[in-house]
Amino acid sequence: MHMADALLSPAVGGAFWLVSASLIGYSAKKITQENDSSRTPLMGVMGAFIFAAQMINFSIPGTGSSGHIGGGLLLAVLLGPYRAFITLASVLVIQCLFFADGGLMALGCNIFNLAFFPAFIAYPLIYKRIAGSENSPVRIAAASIITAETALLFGASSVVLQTVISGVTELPFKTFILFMIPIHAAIGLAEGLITFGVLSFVAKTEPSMLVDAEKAKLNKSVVTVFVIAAILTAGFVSLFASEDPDGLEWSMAKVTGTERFVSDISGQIHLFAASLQEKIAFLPDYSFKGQASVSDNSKIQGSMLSGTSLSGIIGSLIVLLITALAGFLLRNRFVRSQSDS
Amino acid sequence: MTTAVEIKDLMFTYDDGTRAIDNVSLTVYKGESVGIVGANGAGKSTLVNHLNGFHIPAQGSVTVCGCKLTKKNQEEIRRKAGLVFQNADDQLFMSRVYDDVMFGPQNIGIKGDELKSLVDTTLKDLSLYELRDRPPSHLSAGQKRFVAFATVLVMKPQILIMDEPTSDLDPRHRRKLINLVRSLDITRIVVSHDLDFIWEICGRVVVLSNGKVVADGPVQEILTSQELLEQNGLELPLRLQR
Amino acid sequence: MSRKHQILDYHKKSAGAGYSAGGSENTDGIIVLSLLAFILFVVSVPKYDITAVMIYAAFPVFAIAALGVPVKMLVKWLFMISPFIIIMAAANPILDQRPFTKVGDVSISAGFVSGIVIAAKSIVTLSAVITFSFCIHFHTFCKVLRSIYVPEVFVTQLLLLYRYSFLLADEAAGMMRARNMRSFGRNGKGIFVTARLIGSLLLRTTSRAERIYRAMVARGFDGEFDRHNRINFRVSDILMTVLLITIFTLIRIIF
Repeated sequence: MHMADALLSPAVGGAFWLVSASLIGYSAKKITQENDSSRTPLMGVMGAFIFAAQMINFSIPGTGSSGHIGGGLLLAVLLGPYRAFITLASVLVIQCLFFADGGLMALGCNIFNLAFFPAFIAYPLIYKRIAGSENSPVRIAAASIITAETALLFGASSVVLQTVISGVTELPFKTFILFMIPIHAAIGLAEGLITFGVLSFVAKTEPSMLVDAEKAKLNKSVVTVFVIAAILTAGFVSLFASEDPDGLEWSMAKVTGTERFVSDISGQIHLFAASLQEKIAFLPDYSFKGQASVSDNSKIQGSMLSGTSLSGIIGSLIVLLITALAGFLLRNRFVRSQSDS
Repeated sequence: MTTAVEIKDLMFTYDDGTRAIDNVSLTVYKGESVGIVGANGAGKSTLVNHLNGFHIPAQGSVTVCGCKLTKKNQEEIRRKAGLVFQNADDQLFMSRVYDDVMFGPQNIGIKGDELKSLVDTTLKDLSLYELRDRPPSHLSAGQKRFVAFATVLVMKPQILIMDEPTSDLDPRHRRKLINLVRSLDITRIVVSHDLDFIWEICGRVVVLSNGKVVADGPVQEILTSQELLEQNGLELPLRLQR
Repeated sequence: MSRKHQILDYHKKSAGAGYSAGGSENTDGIIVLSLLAFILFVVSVPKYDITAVMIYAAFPVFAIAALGVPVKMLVKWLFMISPFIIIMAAANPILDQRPFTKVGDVSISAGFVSGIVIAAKSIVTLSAVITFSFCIHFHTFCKVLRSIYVPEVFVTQLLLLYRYSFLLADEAAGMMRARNMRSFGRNGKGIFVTARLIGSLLLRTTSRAERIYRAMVARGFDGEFDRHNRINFRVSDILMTVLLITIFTLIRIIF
């Protein structure tokens, strides 16, 4: 469920980076206020634990495949929402940097989809309500499954929305969501079951660990604000700064002389956005090659063709080969200077 | 002779009811090198964890370098007595050896050039300077053990306590550790199953069994007494076995 | 050994420990800051523009060649990219069949081109990130984060997480080996058995956390690591970063 950079537009990626960064800042502040330094090493090793636990897989009956725990819900139960969020976010950062699980641009989205929902929505609103304060196994099982399902389905829908708003892939919304929902519902069930399994193991051997983990009260209105902000920012920024997702249509329309694209509303919005963008954008979306305005469709057409012309591709290949060679030749100098330092 | 550690009528019970320390009285003098031995579960680690201020005596008293251990002066006690943990991974928690060694003195308030030279000297004295940029997770067990020592020694404690220091060392690192400990001019308390190590390092041995002191005397006397050792879950040191 | 464990193992053995491609903390900081800019530029390349992606690829290519990152391993990792991207990229040629251009007599669809661009962007950005992880010592990376005012709680968390990931990964691998030795076929690998394994790992982890806390407190820990340990970025560093970003922009404009 980790999102990749290549499927995301910079606007959506950037918007969610902002949201996730502010969530991290907010959680950090709340944690500092708690002033409980004994939980600092606990958070650290729990992050490492989630990491390691994800390597232990179980076989799924009926299919030939195996699955592994996600861990978001487990962390939320053991650490409370703020610490669970920080821990999950840190795991996602490490996964992104070392294993390329999800892109760097998409990190904001991934943190939102995979950490925010379990820690701030599913756990406080659903798990706690169903599980209550007694340790009845039936309640914990039900709570785990329902909460895991909710978190995963929210996350999956979020992924779909982010991808579709970005407009990079051609996959239509309906197909995408029909594909994602059933799969993640199944994953949610597995996650709920294994979380329940771990929790009941702990309840039997070390019940003191399950004492109410959080001391700070979760401010529900703040959480709602974040969710709304995320949706608004992503949609708004995306619309406003959207590069015409399909310049091809324009160029073709221009060539065939039809005005169809202007009469349809989304086309008008794109036109408006594109011209606005030219005025405020720090980075022009289309290469210039000596022409003045962005709305010149033949220029768009021209740039796109040059971007994919054969000569262009061959030229780039040559550049790559030269760079690789240069790097290789300089390698000895690099390695030598390391051993000296 | 000045007293380094004085334990009087100490009692300690765990939350689940196990009596770990049962009326222990013990005095260690400055400059002494004392070994604490006993079977698994005899109470050795629990005892030394008092000396580092982790456990507060519920009954009885613990005095370290003239300072009686109470909840309020735990920090002061920790500066006087440094404990090298049984598991080096628990003790090295920074992402670089240099940072781990720097951590303690920095928190005391030493900074700038003084801090840098203190850390550098400690690393060089223990031949760890080349490893200063490595993450602890990238070290061998022996190297980790030495770095753990460095993190404690850099704080210049008056008493050095070691909990099973040779348990995961290969023979070469073990020998290096013996040489290191011998070279230190400091009061030493060692908890270990490695009776040969105790033989080489310590002058005095205390035998614990079920939370009680059952013997306390010179190394040559205690560690040659086969009957005493076997009664308490131990054996003669390997060097004395035929 | 799982793929992640292999990667962690490689990090342990490789020069990645204690490495500093930049040669100094300030240069490392520039590399960190430009990485994000780099990815932004690559991702924002227009949908059908393959040349620009290829030129940007020169940067990670240079780094990989210069630092001796094992190419075979890198390729293997890239192939294990979440099937997600492959599905998405492959969907484009199917969904967008509009003709784009002709090579000789063969008509190439717009979807095909955009699919290739997606794949190329993925390879470039992912290689950049993975190569980066071999360039910079993790503690320097965290120092840079601290210098750009990332919350202290989060930086401390990253440092501890990094430190203990290797250890716990090894423990988990050991448990799996022990379990697999006593499992046959699917027996022994069900959800609830695995839950117990994870449960014992969890209990060990929390006891460890307690001992670590004691070690920290014994050396004067008061809630955070050194918050003043920041990189002092000089004007020359900022100029270098601006220069890099200008180069990125020029590439977009020219190509």
